[in-house]
Amino acid sequence: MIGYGVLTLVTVLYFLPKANLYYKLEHELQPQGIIIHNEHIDDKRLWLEILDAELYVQKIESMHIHRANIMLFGLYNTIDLEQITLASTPGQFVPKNIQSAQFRYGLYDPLNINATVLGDFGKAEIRLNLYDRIMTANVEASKLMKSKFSATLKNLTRDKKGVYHYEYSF
Amino acid sequence: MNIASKVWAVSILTRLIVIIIIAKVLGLLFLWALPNEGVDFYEQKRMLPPYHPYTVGAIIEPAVIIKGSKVDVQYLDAGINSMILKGLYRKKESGYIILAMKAKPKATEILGIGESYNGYKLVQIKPSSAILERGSLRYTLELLINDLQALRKRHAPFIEGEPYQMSRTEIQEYAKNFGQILEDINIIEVKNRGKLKGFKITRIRPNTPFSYLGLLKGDVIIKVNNEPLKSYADALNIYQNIHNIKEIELIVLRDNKEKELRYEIH
Repeated sequence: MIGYGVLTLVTVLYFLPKANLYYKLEHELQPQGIIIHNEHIDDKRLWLEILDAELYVQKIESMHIHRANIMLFGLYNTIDLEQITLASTPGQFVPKNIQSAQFRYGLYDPLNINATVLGDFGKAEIRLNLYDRIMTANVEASKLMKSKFSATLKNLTRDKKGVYHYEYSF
Repeated sequence: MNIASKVWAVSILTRLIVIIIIAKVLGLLFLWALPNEGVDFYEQKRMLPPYHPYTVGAIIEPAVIIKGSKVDVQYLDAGINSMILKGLYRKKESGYIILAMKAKPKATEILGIGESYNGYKLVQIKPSSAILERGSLRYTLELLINDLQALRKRHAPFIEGEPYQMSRTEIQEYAKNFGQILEDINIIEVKNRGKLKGFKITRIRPNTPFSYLGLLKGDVIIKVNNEPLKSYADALNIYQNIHNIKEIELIVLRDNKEKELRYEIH
């Protein structure tokens, strides 16, 4: 039975119009002021690959994402972003280069979306609580971040271990 | 292959076909239900037309009454050419200028409105110049640029109801350093039913450029040059076009009343 279950899941995933699901996501993000523009969408049958996406937040050019892989398995879903370059406006707050961002959502933790972001700014562990609508970020700031972007860090609270915390309600 | 094996194989094959058909039908249903086009960003060219505030007060209460109409912007007289305007202080109907001769720039004289220097009478003080009168002619003496910048750096006090004079050079230098702006002022968004209504000032660092602009902690900036701040993009648009703006008028909510703050950039 498990074999049939896995087979059904894989087959459904294979035939699922993932590009259209992605369009649906874009339509859902639009009212939040988030628009993904100029991207190239490639349906890899079991996952979706997005290349060269430009992200606009509140009509402000925010970042360029070289590659994004979206994998939807139902029970466990991931979005992996690679080579993110921040635009000039957010680049005034944090270093522009972000190597990777991995978003994970699974039924083992249905109320939270977890993410790990690695970049020139350091490392950030992000949690989006879907029930309380709160985003929390724990940032291990790099030397570059501490030296050249200290003004941004002043808006975060620092614990005894030197980790910076940020909380935002959405 | 015996009959039992054939039945088993047919059964497996049937199940696989059923799974594929179900998956395909599900896929088609999704295809039918989901949008077949994404969302693209179309940039609207944002224009900031020159802003000209209309001040009723300036019409009914002129700062200085000037007799005669001829104002000569050229230095027609050798006497005026030998003078330099080193500084000025201007209020509604009063003020003074600091004059010196080019030959002795350190030997300065302070001149009030109506007072004379070397036969030239001071009749009006403008934001960066002074109008002097001799006989029937009037002359405009421009403030030295270096002295103008020095004056700006000293940050004259903000006078309610009067436009505050700002140095473009200083603003441009300041605008380049966003980290410094973040250190000097804290602003948070103000929303009403999910819609952005303005930006509230939560902190102004003392003795920084922001502390001289007449802004107070708790002010909510709701309009800039008569344009409501409805999004971050509106605010960013002004920040990015600051080098093209000659006048800025801020409408802030202070104690639930709208207050107008005006700035002239030279």
